Amino acid sequence: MSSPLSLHVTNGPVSVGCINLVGVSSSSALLLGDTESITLYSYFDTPAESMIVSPMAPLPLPGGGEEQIEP
Amino acid sequence: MNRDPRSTTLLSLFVNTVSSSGVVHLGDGQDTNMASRALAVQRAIANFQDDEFFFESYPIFYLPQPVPEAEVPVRFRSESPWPTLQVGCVYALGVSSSSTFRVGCSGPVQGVTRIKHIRHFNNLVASPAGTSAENRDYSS
Repeated sequence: MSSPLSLHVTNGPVSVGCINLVGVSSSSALLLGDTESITLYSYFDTPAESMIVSPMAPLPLPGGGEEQIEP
Repeated sequence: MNRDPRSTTLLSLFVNTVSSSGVVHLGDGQDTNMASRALAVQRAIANFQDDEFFFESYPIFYLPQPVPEAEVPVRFRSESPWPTLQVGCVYALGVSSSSTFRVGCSGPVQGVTRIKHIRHFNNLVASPAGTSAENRDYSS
């Protein structure tokens, strides 16, 4: 059994001039400081079936079974 | 973990808009958990008749999320001989949709966003110009 991996980090000096930021959105993060861990998920679903070309019809109810309306 | 968290000096901060559960946090803190769900429907003709938008209809909103696990044990040690993070000015236009902007130290940060897009058009065939709603045949 080998010894566990040892990681020693020395944080150097940080000096930032100017941050020009358009947006932080959809469960993202901008952190000026220290943290233990960052875990960010993003689920984005735009499949081809998301585009429906059909006469005006309501979207299906939760118990309908089908995810999309058949065009 | 880092036992001596550093401090941050910020010269100036400008944030135009904070919306949709966005957070601007100045100072230290503990765990940060963020979650956001959106059902984005783009339609040629609006339907105001009844409520038809349910997160339960789409698997993306209830599928389990994979959790990355640390497989290798690591003996981690860090030190910060320079105790201050120096930042000049920050200009941010927007912080939105369960996102966070923090100046300071924190514990674990976790965020989940699930977005489903639906586009619903009516008649794209006879539309040389304009939107499908403008080219709709209202005579029938």
